[in-house]
Amino acid sequence: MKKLILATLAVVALTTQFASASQKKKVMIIGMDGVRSDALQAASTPNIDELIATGFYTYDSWHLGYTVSGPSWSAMFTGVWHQKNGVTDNSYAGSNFGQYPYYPHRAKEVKPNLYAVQIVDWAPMSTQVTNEGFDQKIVRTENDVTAVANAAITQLQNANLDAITVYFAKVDNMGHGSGFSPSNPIYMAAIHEVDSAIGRVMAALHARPNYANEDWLVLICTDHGGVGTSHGGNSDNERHIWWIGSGNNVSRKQLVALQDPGSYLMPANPVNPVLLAKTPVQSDIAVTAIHHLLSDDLDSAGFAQKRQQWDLDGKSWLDSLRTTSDPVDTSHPPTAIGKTNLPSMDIKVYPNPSSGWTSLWFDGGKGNKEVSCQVYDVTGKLVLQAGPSAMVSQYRMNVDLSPLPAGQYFVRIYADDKIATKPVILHHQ
Amino acid sequence: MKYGFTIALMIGGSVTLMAQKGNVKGIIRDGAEVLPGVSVSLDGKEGTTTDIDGIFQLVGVDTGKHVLKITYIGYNALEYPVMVLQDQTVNTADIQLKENGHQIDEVKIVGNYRQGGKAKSINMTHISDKTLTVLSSELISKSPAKATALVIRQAPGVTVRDNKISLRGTPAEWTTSLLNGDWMPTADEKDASRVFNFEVFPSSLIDYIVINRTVTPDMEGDNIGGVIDFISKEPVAEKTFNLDISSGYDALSNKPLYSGSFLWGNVSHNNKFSYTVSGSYNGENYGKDAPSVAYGTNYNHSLARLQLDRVRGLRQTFGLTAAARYQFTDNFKLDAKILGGRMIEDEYRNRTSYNWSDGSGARIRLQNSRGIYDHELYGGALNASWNVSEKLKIEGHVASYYNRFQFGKTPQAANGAPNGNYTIEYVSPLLQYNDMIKTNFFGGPYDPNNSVDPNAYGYKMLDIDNPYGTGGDHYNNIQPVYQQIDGSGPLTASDYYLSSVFADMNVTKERDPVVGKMDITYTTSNQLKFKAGFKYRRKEGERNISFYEYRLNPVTSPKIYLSDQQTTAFDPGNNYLREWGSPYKGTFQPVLTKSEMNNFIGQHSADLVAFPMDINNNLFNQWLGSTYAYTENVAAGYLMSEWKPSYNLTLTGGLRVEHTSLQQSSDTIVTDENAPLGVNASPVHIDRTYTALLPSLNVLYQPDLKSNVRFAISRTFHRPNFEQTKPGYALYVRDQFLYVFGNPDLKPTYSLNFDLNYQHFWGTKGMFSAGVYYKHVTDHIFKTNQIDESQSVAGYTLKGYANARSSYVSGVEVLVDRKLDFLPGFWNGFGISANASWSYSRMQVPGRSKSQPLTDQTPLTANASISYEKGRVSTCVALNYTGAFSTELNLFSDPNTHEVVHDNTDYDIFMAAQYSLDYQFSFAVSHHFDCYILANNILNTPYRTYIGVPDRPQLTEYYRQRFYAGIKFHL
Repeated sequence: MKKLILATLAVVALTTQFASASQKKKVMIIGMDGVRSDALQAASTPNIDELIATGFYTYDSWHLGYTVSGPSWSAMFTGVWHQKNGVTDNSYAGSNFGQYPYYPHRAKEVKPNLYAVQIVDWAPMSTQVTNEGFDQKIVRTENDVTAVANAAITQLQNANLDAITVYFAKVDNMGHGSGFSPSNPIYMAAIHEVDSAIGRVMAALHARPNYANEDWLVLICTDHGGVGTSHGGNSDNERHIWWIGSGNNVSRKQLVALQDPGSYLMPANPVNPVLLAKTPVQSDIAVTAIHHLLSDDLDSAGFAQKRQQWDLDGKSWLDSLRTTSDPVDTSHPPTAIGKTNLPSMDIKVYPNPSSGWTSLWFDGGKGNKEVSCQVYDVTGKLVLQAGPSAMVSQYRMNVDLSPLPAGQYFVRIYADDKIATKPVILHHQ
Repeated sequence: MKYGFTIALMIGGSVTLMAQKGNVKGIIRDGAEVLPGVSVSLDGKEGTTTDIDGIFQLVGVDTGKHVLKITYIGYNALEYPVMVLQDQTVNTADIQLKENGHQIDEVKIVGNYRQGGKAKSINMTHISDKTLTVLSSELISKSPAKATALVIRQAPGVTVRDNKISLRGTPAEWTTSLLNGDWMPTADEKDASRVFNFEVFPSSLIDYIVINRTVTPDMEGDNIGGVIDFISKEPVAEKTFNLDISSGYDALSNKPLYSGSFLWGNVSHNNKFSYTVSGSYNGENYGKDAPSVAYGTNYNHSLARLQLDRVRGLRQTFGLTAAARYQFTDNFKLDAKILGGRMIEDEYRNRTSYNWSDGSGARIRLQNSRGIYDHELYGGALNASWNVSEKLKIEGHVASYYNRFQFGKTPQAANGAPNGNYTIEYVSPLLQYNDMIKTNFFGGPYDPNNSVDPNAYGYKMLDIDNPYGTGGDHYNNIQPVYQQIDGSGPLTASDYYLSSVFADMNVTKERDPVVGKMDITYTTSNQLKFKAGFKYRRKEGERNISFYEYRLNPVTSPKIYLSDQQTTAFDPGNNYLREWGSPYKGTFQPVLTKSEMNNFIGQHSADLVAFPMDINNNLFNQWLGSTYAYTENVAAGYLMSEWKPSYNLTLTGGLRVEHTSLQQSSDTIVTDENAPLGVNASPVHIDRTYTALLPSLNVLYQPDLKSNVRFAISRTFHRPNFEQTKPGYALYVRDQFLYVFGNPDLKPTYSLNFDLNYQHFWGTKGMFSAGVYYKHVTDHIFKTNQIDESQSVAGYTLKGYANARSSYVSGVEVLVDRKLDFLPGFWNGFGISANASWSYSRMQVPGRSKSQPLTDQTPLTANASISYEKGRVSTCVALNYTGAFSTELNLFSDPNTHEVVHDNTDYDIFMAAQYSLDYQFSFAVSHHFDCYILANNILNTPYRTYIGVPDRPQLTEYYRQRFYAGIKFHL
């Protein structure tokens, strides 16, 4: 009996891998308010790390408008900037959601039977937004991470669910309370707490009875960073942010954009359309989500036409997400603002246990030093080696353990003149 | 029961022993006035003193001829012969005493009311079985202040903060303020303490005030600092009519003040019935210029907000008291008192808030608020006094009181909106503040090479907190520097648009439906008296704080610009913070006119959607714990005796037992998937009982008639207030961004008190007193101010309450009060009064390595006044000083190490030192008329709180001077 199930699962897994065209397209957008890039990298976030290690991520997303929640999430969910959606602050005064609605509304214009749900714990995202196309808008009390996750898990049990937005306010509130900083243990603990909730939500997603026949695109994003105890300004710490794409058909890679595309609010740094076309920005989130939801119904040309008809500012990264051929661009370090607060060469291994890709987090010192990684099995035999290569990041090295058989290993890192070793457990899914 | 039986046996036994003797009793008067505290001795040996009604009683006197020696400070001594017969009581009836040096023809200022002169108060102070001070009605009416709280500030060792009175600089909560012997219920907007706020009760309704520094077992045991008993107008001894009318000027609001009070009283022909009715009205325009600074985090002193508040209001106080006495027989009388007070403050507030740190981005917020603060107090008491026999006296007392605060109805509460304090807020577009300096996370110098924290954080810092020592804004000239984020030009009213409209709601009530007391005094002999009694008090209270918000209608939602409204200048006179050199002159945006403010919601009803704070509101949890209710039942009993082993030594001691039973309920948050937000309120309830054993002993040694040496030892306690013991979720204080967590496990504070005091009396011309005290305190309750991750509330300050380990307060008190009558001619009208109370205290705070001074305990409080009274002129200038003290401790603990981050007091909140100067001048036009002027708050020193050091202020309030001119009429 057990063997039969395993065999079935294996078939399902194969189907997942190769039969995406027939799978129902679905989207989950997870919003974390106010998470700085460097804090996300330094915080203990095993669940997000796993998504990064297995999926698509960028630390080079830029904010082109008001680095405040209302306008930011509006840009992300409508696919247009504040000039069009009219949202310039948290009162949502002057909003124009009639003309520029949220992504579920747009998707339903093509597929009216989609079922979409939003769960937030910051009420204005629910009360001040209209015409958004959600079938259900759930609000939880502010900062209640567990309640938001629980509501999402409940919704994920609905087989008809097609699109879901899950939003957590807590990290931002903690930043306001005591500082947006990797040095602030309160802020970092909040990121960890939300990460744990994301882990539970992802587990519920994977547990959907018909998951094998569904093609989920999961986008995890933040609205802005922060400086001191505030945000709203034009500093890189507020504007230079991140997002993550995950899904069975999402390829593993880092999206790198070398330059700031500019801002609509910075006269000295106006938006550069050439750079904008190559750079991930917030309005791309909705457009990518809509593209995914409609990818069985519209071909590229059809979607391009819709995008023009709807007057969307954002661009879709869907094709790039699905393309495995792009090499991981290692020429550019992830955009951390400074070093983490990890003690020298204290490495962290996430996820651990790992199912293949794992990230090694360490502080190898300054400068582009050489780094190499060796993996030993329990008998001390060298089973895998990477490098030496120029240190691409002061923080992280990703290693693919999937060729190895399941079991316990030791990962050793040589960075410059420092060395560290950590055990890691590998089990295949 | 067992003990009661024993006592009865003792009493019965002593009665039989006394059978061969007689008794003497009488009343001592000055004219119609009774004189309390008169020494009456039998042939200069054993003796007694008159009680509050001027009655004395000597029991077990040998039959035969005796001479009563009657002495009273400031009066001529008198010898009064009596003949005592077996088993009979000699009633001397009225014995008249004459004041020495009494000048009959001189026009003297007798104050507002003739009753209760200085001699009385000095004598009561002199003969009391405990250390006390009596402020006579004469002194009260001559005080250079009208508010009760300001009047009592003249008394030795008294400190007044926020209209709360404390003795010896001890925490205000430790000092019990009673009205007619009863603890008034309290109901304040913000302050949940048990300390009665006398703002609602004007001094013109107070007859006299008794300040007790040490206690006897027949007094409330809930006091560590002392007990202050305010006695409202007593029934008069002769026909009385007094009228006091004055008008004045408030220098800040630039508007008038009105005040009037009357007293009418009379006595029936048979002298059995006497009564008094008195009433008062005060209409005061007031103002407050109040800049405040909010600091960012627990890790550095960065500025999060600068709030410039300008408050203007009209405070109207109505007070009424009535007292009646009926003397049924010589041995039985009934006293009744009723009182009522109402205070209504109609307040407009404009706030300009520079928010360096703001949840919706750096901005300037402009708030226009109006609220009617409505306080009401009423109640009454009935006393019965029955001299069952020459030796047995029974006194009974029943009372009931009610106190309530709420916001009154303003025109803003249109269309079914609740009564509340309404605020209409406009915001600027997003700003870039250009006055930040780069520091590290901890506010230290930014170092990109620091491996732990290489990040730069932009913070606005005061000059004293600039880690580079390169200057910056001094606290009295904080100048925000900013520009619009999109580079547009300077801000004008057309840039500001409506952000929200909201109302703070608050209904707080407390009542003592039943207070019952019975005291039984048994005099076995002139050397030994027993007293026993019990008291019961029930207290019921509730507090309901909530919030009502309007958000813009998301469908229409146009921006509503400030420039489209009727506006007026923020600071029309251009004198906002003149004290600081008007640093913000010309920077203010206009504010809504009063009519625009009042009609705002009605006019914009189509643009606004109401969000009540109910189960559908996602901030529901914030307010969940802000509603609570409680009942407290206190039953107390005591047994004490007064023993005079010799004529100059009195020992008063005994034991009091107070049993407290507290039931309190509030709400906490629970998961409820059926509720709209997935959470619901769930009631939590606590039930606490505790019993306090409170022994005490007062020793009075009188080496001569002019001097007292007093020693006292007592155990007293202090109950936590109902905010402090509140169960459930935190109470939310919206405008201060803080959550207050109650601590149902908080223990009452106990103190073992030692007092030693020397008093010397210069007749009625003054007194000198010096004393030392020591209080060993366990479980002192202090306020903490920290961030606790586990509470899942963020971006706000969390406050809580904790018990300190053992603490102590020790102090020295000195008082001199002297009329300089030994000086020649003109100069002998001068008098000086000065007192100072120094203290040294230490408390051990959990989590800190060193002990520190007790919170809310000032190290020095001092009062000094110079008066001149001669002929028709009476004038007085009075200075008060209270030293700085800490009020809240920042015990923020690191979430990783769980250790308190701030081992020193640099992040604690302090109350700044405060001094004030008041002046009074009064002139007797005739026997019936006085005219007077008062000047209050002459120095205009601000009310200030600060973080760590005085140059890092939190709240500063300036009120400026207030002047009154008035006339008094008396029959």
